[in-house]
Amino acid sequence: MKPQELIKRHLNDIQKPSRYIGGEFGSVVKDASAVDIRYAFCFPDLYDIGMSHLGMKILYHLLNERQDTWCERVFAPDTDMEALMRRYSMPLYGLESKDPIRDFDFIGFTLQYELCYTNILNMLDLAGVPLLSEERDDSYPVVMCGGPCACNPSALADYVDLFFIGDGEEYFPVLLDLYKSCAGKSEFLRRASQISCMYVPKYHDPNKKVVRAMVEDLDRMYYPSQFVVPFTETVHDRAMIEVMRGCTRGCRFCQAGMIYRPYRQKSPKRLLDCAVRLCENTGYDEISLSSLSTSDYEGLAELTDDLLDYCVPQSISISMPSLRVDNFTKNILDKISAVRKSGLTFAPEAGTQRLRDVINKNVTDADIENTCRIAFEGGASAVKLYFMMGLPTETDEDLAGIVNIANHIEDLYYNINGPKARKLKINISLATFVPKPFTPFQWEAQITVEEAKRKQDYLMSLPHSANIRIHCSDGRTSRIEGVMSRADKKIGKALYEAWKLGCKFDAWDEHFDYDKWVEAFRRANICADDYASRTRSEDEHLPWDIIDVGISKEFLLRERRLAFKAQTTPDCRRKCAGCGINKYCKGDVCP
Amino acid sequence: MPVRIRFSKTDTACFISHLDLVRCMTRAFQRAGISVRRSQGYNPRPHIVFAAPLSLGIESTAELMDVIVEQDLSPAEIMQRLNGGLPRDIRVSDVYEDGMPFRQISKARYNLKFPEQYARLFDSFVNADRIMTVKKNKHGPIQTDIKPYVNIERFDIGPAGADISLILPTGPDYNISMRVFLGAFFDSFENDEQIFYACRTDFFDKNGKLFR
Repeated sequence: MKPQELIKRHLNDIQKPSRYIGGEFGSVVKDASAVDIRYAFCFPDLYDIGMSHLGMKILYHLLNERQDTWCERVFAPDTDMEALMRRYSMPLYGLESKDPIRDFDFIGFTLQYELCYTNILNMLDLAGVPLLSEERDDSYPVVMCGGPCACNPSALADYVDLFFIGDGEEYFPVLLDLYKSCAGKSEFLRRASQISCMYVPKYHDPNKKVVRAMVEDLDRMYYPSQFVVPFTETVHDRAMIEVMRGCTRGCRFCQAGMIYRPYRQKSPKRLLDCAVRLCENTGYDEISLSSLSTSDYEGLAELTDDLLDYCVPQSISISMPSLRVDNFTKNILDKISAVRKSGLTFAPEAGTQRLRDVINKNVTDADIENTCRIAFEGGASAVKLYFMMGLPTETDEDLAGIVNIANHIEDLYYNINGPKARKLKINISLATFVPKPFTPFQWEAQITVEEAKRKQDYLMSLPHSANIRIHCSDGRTSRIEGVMSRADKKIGKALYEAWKLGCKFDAWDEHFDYDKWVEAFRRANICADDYASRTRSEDEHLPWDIIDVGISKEFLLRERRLAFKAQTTPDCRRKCAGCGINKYCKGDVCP
Repeated sequence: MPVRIRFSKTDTACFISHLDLVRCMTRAFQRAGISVRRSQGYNPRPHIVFAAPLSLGIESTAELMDVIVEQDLSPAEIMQRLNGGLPRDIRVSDVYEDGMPFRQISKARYNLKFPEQYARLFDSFVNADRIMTVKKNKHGPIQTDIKPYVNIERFDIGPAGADISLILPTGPDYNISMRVFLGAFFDSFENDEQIFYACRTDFFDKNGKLFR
């Protein structure tokens, strides 16, 4: 039975069926008999999330540009659809062909966040593929992973044949060419383990580090001129261009800012060309300028001027997902609200100057005030602010600082607009800090669930007006994230137990079940505190030391010590911090 | 130039809800480079009027929508361009300028197919004294006998199952959606899956004249 027939028979039981049937505009259908390689690109979460992910769009079209390869999309089915698939023994299939992915050459997962790991096991199981790498003989597809979380592959090392570390544009084609020249999976994996950016647990040489792949000239890299345009609304349902990769700021908590170095910008000319073609080909009415910190992009004024000339007559709006408070201007505000007003989100991350210096955020209270003033004078009546809680050296005074900032912003709003102004909305989103590999905080202890709760209660007890809404993340979810992100190979067993107990969609409040995780750790004989809330010694061997992401441990240690002295490190554009990345790849500002 | 566009929505496209279809069409015009008159208001969008929403799971070869095209394009050119901007399972089959007003739509014809095991059950379902459906409104569920409104034009039973042509009231005055009708049928006997094929093929006006 085809999936569409299955869904039709149970239409009343399935939410948003268009997630499971493919056929979207821009999706690529090929003749299966005319290709050599079938690649299942799996996003281990719902369609609505996965279809918002830019990396998948780039690689999907990059792979499908090859005549010899057919890349299809696969997402985690929601629980209603999963129940139906299991009842009818329908194996997990590619959305384009509806063929079972266990018959493909590759099953590749992108690892965007740690809380999707149980979904990976569940998807392999749904595909009818043995979970453990060693239980899959040559007749099964190569199971591989890439994406940011692959920089610590330990938790998944028992289940995955090959980890691809770093940028995909240059080495994916190399990998596929190698596959075609090999007689079978074993030979392929053995030879792939010789490629610098591939980690193959079975053939890994412990004396050699796996070096992250970095593309030198982003401007010359492939970028799709077409996206798959979903029918149903997804989280980010819009055209996107990647304006740059990497970030010069050096925030000490930020893994992306460390593992996507060096700083590589695309030219405004190329970006404009990509943007116009994408809008024309997709019909989207919004284009997002994506990067870790878009307001830092040097060519922003030129790009947005030219882009608006195209966008305004077409009613296409421009959005920038990551703006900083220290360089937000009236000009930027005007440009992002030229066609449609969009929400404004800023991330001061911490409530006091001292703590912001510890994390090297390098923004001041004056920056925050200035940015909000521009926003309010420009007509905004809502702002969203991101903060973290549980940062190293944090005290209650730092938490109180968050509420002080919000109260201050409220005063500012009514001073500018008068007491009778439209009701102001300040949404504060408070995430629990999770120390991540390859950051200066990779040795730190994460706060416990109890401490997170106490901090939240304290924060909520501070007087703040009804205009200020504070949303705190669940400290228990963050704890699991913490264990996974700094996992070693032993965690793989706990992951299996958790999946066995029914854990999946752990990033979703309605599915997350902490008690099951506690039981899973017990069964796997794991002390979760050892992973999440333990300070490592600086000479401890770390599970992710097998990977070289390009920056040196000495740099991270230097940054760590500066953090505890609350001393900041300047932006790479002002002074090189000596992270060591320029040994491998020189970005736009590396000496 | 006001134009009426006839399109089909078949195979996987039957799972695209009406709201998603509106979005899909909006983007299709944009992709096709066809400039369509926009709605007035805070967030102007292309103004597209659909003849009658189609229920989820039902295919169609007869869908109609109206737009005002702001360029000088021939109907043939609109059809060709729009098809280039549409997903595979939504196809434009006709574009013309002299459509009848949508408010005159009164009935729709459907082709319905069931596997053999449902054929007798369907026969007795439509030949019973009453066909009860349940519609919910703000006062709670309302039971209605729709038997007087259901017109079975043709009912063939063969080895492949039942092949039926039937007409249901459709449009602004009185509307029975195919999902409601099928729901009543599948509620009338024990089953745990609903196997059917349903496709809207034509609209008619009050006088039984083919609506175009």
